[in-house]
Amino acid sequence: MTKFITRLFLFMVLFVLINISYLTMVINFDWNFSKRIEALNLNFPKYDILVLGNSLAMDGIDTEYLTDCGFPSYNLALGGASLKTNIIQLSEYLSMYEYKPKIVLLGLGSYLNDFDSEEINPIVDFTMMKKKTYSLEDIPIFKFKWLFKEQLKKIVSKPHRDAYIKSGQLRFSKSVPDNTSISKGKIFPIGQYRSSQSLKAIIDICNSNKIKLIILEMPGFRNTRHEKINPCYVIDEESGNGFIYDFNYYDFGSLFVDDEDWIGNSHLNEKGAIKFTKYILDVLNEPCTIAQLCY
Amino acid sequence: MLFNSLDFAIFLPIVFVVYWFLNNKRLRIQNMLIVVASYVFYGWWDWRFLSLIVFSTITDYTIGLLLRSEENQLRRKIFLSASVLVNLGLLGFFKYYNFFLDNFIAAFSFFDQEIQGNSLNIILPVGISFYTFQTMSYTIDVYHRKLEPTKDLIAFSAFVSFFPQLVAGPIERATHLLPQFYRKRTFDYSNAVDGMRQILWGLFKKLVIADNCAGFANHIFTNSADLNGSTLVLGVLFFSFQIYGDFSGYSDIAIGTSRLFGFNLNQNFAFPYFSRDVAEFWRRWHVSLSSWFRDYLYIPLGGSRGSRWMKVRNTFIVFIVSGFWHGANWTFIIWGALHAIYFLPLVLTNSHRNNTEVVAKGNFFPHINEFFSMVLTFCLIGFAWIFFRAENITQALEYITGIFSQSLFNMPIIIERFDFVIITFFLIIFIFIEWMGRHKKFPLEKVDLDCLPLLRWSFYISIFTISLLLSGSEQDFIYFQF
Repeated sequence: MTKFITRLFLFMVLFVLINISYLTMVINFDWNFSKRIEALNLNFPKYDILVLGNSLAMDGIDTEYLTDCGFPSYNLALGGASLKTNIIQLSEYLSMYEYKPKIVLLGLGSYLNDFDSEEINPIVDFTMMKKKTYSLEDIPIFKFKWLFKEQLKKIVSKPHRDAYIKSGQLRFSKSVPDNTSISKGKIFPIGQYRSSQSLKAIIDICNSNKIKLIILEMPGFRNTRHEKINPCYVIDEESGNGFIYDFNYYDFGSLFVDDEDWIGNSHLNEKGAIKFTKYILDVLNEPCTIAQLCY
Repeated sequence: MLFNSLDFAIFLPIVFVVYWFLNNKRLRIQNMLIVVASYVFYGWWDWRFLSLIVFSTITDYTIGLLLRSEENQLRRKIFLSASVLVNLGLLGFFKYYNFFLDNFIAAFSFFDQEIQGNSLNIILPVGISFYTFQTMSYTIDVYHRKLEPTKDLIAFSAFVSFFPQLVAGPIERATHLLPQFYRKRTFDYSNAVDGMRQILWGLFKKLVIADNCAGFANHIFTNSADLNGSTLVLGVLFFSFQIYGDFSGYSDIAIGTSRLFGFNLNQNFAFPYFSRDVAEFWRRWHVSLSSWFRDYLYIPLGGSRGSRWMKVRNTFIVFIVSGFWHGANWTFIIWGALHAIYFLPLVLTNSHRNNTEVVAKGNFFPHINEFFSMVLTFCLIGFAWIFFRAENITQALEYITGIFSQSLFNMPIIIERFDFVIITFFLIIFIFIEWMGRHKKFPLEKVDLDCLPLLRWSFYISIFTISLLLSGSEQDFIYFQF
């Protein structure tokens, strides 16, 4: 029995060592993890625009380009981040740094996301600034299991190795063609945005910090697109904050070249991101007038 | 509580330590601990359904005692019938009530007769098909005087609810498992280490093979109408390995866990995909269920003796009942009937016991005939899995039509290519390891304990780490629904 228990103990020690090694690996090599750590350790940032959202925004909004155009920006978006995660990220950023952004760009895809998902991105959960109680569920090998395949992809695929983070944006040069086809008759699900409690919470944070919230329905593959009804909507009628711009209508999608601008599953690569960011600049320079707003 | 959960990872060591600490105390207390642990294990899912296990336990325990003191044959038959009725009644209500109701309504409406019936929103208690069969085996064996009825209610409760095999088998016979609760158990190092190896291999099968295959199989079966023939073939292939990895993985963990507590459960899977004919497949797949049906249904019906018509009848009965055991759906009945059709030529030509030895015994490669026999058998079994996996018969037929279309010769449509490469790689490794260990109870059994400990430990750690890091998205064990 003693021998058996000793062996089990040895196995446990090895398990702990594996966990430490794995955590060290993902902290150093995973884009999401290193970006998160960078975002928590920015040196007196003076960004006017903060990008939030999930991987659609992380890949598809070129913050360096926005900065070059006179809008100092940083992309905080993370792969797999829910709106609840974005609330945590925004609150942390505002409490940590003195200089408040003027605009928050929130990139979402109604076709991919459940806006009121209760899940918190594991990386954000693990590294949360507020006091966190760690449990067995935080064992790195369980918690960050999903990052392992990404690391394997880096080993076997050069485009993955060549991808990099710049101003918080994940830049991929690789392209995966959009082979989907348009399914006619879809309309923009504005109700999904308006009913989201998490989105309301983000608007509240923005209002109390005098930040303008611009929500972008991110462009996606052809099969995700819908009819264009209005160019712009506003969610919070009282404060007039929370402007939604629809960039996933049928005609807007034709901006992108099927074989060049995508990296798969409705995500833009670096070429597509620049094209899209140019349109964001139009929004920033010419915000929609009250006459255009559709409540 | 799932075997592949953190809850179980905490539960098992606690029970293990307390159990062996009690080793020097009374056996009865040790058995009591097993009962309590088993009820906690089961109640973790839904404590209300513990009442069913307790009811089933008390019923069969009491009937066992009544059979012990009863010599009158008629009364003995009545007691046995009462046990079978109670057990099958519970099973019938929870599992088949809505199925029979819906089919009665459908049958009457076919003759333009309208009858009213209200379907009930019934939750199927996990493992009910397994523990009812296990307790029934007890009363049947006591009735046939193959087993002395127990007076020890604690031991009997532990036998019915033994947590490693409570919810998905193996379905143990009372003659094999119950006496183990009467004997003092001693800790055997090599047995426990082998048990750990079996748990490790079971986890690998479930987490890496089954759960990764499930991602593809679920996608392909859900979108079968939009996919080409070659992709649908891949769907069958993935489901075949999903269900094997899932169920045999569970069995391995169950058997391995039992060994940690000094119990010996029967082998439930014996490398069934290396079978050379369907009869051999059924000697190797879910052995505890197929042998249950063989002993308590097929042989009492006459088995393969008697006239040609009797053989046909018995084969169809046992396979259709076996299909129906899996679930209240016509798809399972068709699945069972298909296996009866596969099995029938073998039993009629008396060649159903041709392949009793392990394939290519003593050789690395199989003979060419053996190889093609294995491939053919796998294809037949895969074809039947379509009915098992499909939501309904219409979907199964459409799936089959989709396979046998011109698009069979197009390139398969793979969405997640990287995941596809990973699972293909691990399937090849998995098949290789299973092939190398096909003469054992599980491939890692009795790995030489003295040679190259560093290599052996590296192998264990690799399998363990891969199982955790490259597991597919968490899926319930398929056989929980049965």
